[in-house]
Amino acid sequence: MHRRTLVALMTVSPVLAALPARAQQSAQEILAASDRVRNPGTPFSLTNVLTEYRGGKPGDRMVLQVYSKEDTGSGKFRSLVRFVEPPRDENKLILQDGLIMWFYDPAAKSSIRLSPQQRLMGQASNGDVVTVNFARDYQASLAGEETIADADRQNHDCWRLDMTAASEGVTYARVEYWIAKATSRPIKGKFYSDSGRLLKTAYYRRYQDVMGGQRPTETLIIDGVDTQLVTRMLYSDFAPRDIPESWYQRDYLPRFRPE
Amino acid sequence: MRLAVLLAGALLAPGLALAAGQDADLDLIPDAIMEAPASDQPDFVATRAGQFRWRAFLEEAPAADFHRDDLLVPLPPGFRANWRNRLSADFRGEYRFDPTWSATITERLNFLSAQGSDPRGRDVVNDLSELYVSWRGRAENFVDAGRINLKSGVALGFNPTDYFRTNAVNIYVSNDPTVLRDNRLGTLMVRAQGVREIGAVTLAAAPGLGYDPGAWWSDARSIGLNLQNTNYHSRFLAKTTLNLDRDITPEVLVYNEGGQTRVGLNATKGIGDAVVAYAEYSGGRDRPLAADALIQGVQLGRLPANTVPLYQTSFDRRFMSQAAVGFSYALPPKLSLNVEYHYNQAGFSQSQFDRWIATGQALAPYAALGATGQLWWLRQYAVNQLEPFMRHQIFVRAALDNIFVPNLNISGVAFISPHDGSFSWQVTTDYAVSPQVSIGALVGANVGGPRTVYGSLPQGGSVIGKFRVYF
Repeated sequence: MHRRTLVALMTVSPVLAALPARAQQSAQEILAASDRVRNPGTPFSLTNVLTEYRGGKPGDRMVLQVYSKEDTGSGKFRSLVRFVEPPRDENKLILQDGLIMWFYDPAAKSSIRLSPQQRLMGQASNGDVVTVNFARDYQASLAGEETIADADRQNHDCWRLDMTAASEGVTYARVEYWIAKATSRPIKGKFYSDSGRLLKTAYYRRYQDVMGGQRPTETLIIDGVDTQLVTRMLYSDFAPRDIPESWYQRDYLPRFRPE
Repeated sequence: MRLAVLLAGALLAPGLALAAGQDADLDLIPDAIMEAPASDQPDFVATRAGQFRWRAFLEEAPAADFHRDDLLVPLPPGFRANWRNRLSADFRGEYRFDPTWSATITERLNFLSAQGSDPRGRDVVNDLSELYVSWRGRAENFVDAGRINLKSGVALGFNPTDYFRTNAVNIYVSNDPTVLRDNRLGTLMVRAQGVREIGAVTLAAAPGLGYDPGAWWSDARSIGLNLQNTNYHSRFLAKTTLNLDRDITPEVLVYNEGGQTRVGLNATKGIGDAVVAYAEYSGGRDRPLAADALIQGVQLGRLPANTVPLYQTSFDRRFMSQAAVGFSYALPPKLSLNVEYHYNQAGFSQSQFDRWIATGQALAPYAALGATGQLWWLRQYAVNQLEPFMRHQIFVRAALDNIFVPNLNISGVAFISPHDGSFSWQVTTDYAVSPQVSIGALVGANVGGPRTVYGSLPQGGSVIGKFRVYF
C-alpha cells in the first residue's frame, strides 16, 4: 500500500521524481556549478554591448566595460562598470561592492551613492550587467526537472530551481532558473519582484570557449510587462585582469582609466 | 488585468514547455536578434581607447525671462532682458604621454547675447575649467598640478564640505546643482593622493594670487582664467576617507583658506533597499554672509573700493556651522527622489531678511542711480558661494527616467524657504533623439509674495530651450 502510494506520487510530481538525483547534488550545488559556468574563476574584464529591440526592431545601443573581482571574504563579486557609449554617458562609472553602489560622473567630477533598488532602474538594470554569484545571493530549492528549449530552440533536460533572495539588497526577490543537467549551463531565468510581479525573462545563449570554459556570450532579456521590449546583451573581450583592491574604492573612481 | 494575464501566462509557461518541448517565451524574441551577427564590436575600440580620450559637444540654449513688477527692492538699471542666448562649445580631453604621465583639459567657450544692456550678454566668455598634468605611481599614488576641479561631499543641493565650490561657477546654465557641477572652474593647485583598500588620503595646496585687474591671469586681459575667483586666498585641504565600514565610509576634512580653518565631515548610510541617508557638516570661525559678501565684493572689484555698507551687519568672526542632511529614495523602475535640509548659520535669519527688504524699500527711490546694487550683490554672493542665502532651506529633487517614451528624462528641483514657504522650482526635460543629439527644455519660476525669500527675486520665471550635439 505504502509503496503504491509513493509510485503514484512520483508519476504526478516532478519534484518528487527528482529526489534520487537531488540526493547526489543539492540545489545550491547545482546553482553554484552554473555560477562557475557564467563567471570566470579569476578577476576579469569584458565588454557588454546592450541593444534594445522594440517591436522587433533594434533601437538604442549602450556599450559597457565591466571589471569584476570576487571578494575572497564574502564570495560576492565586486564590479566596476564603465559606460563607453552613447557619447553623452561616456566614461561614467558605477562601482558595486555588495549593497554599496557609487555612481561617478566625470563631467561633475563627483560621486553619488545609489541604493540597491536603483539597480532596478532601466530595462537592463545595473544588477544585470554586474557579475553576480547567484549561489551566494539566493537560497535555491529544486522545483523539478523539465525539458525546455533554449533561445535557439534546442531542447535541454534541465533542473528547475526556485530561488529566493537569501540576503538584503539582492536585485530580485525570487528567480525561477533552468540549468542544463548535462552541462550545468544556465538556459533560462525568470526574475520576480517582491510582490511576485514578473520583471524579466532571460535566455542565455551563444556558449563559447572563454577564459578556460564554455560560457554564455549573449543574454536576451524580455521585459516582464512590455513584452515587445527585448534587450540583447552581447559579451566580448573577456580578459583576465590583475585588479587591485583600490579600484573598488570611491576615491579611485576619478582616477580610473580604461585598459 | 493585463499584468495578471501576463503573470499567469508566465507561470504557466514552464508547464506548457514541459509538454511541448518548447517555450511560449521564445515567441517574444524578435527574429532580428536571432539573425544578428555574433560580433558587435563597438566603435570606441578604434577611436577612443588609445592615448587620447576626449568628448566634445555643442549646445545652443535660447532663454526667455519673465520679470516681476512688484519688486520691493528694485534692480539697478540694465538687468531686465526679456531674452538671452547661449551657444557653448565644450571640450574635455585627456592625453596619456605614458603609463605614468598624462594631461587633462576641460574647456568651454560660451557665446552670450542678451537683450539691451543686461550684463548677462557679455559676448564671449571662456571657461578654462581644468588644465593639469598628472603623475601616477605604481601603488595608486597620484600627484596633479595645474587647474583642478577638486570636489567633495555627498549631498546634492548644498555641499558644505565641497570647499573649492565657492566662486567657481561662471555661467549659471541651470538651477539644478547637479548640473552646475558640470560647469565650474577648477582651482590652481598641487594635489597629492593615495588610494588604498582601507581608505584614501588627499592633500591639496592652492596659492593665493589676490586680484589684479591688469594681470594676465585675471578675466580682464586673459582668455578667461578668472583665477581671482578661485585663487584669491591661499587654500589648503587635507582629507581622508576611511573604509572601516564600507556602508558609511566617512570623509574627514581639514581646510584652511586665508588663514581660517574649517573642519568637515561627510558620510552616507544605506537604509534598507531603497534609501540612502547622507549628511555633511562643516564648521569654523567665519563672518556673517553679508559681511563676507561686502568684503569679497570689494576685493574682486564687484563693489567700489570706498563702499559704505548700506545693510548693517557684524564683521566679527565667530564659530559658524553649515550642514546638509538628506536622503535619496528609489522607486523602481522610474523614480528617484532626494530630500535635503540645508543649514547655513552665516545666512540671513528672518529678521535680517526683513531688514534687507526694509533697506531696499528705503533705497527704492534711488534705484535708478544704482543704489540697490549693493543689496542685490548680497544675494548674488550667496549664489556664487553655492550656499543658502537664508539660514534654513529645504531642497527636493526628483528624477524620472524613460518616462512616457524611451529616452525622455524629466527632473525637477525645488528650493523651499521654511521661513515663509516661498520656493523656487525648475523642471528639466531631456530627450535623446539619437546617441549624438539631445533636445530639452528648462522651465522654472520663483513663487511667493513680494516680502518672501523667493518672491522678492526679480525673475518671476524663465523658459530655456536646449539643443546639444555630441561629437
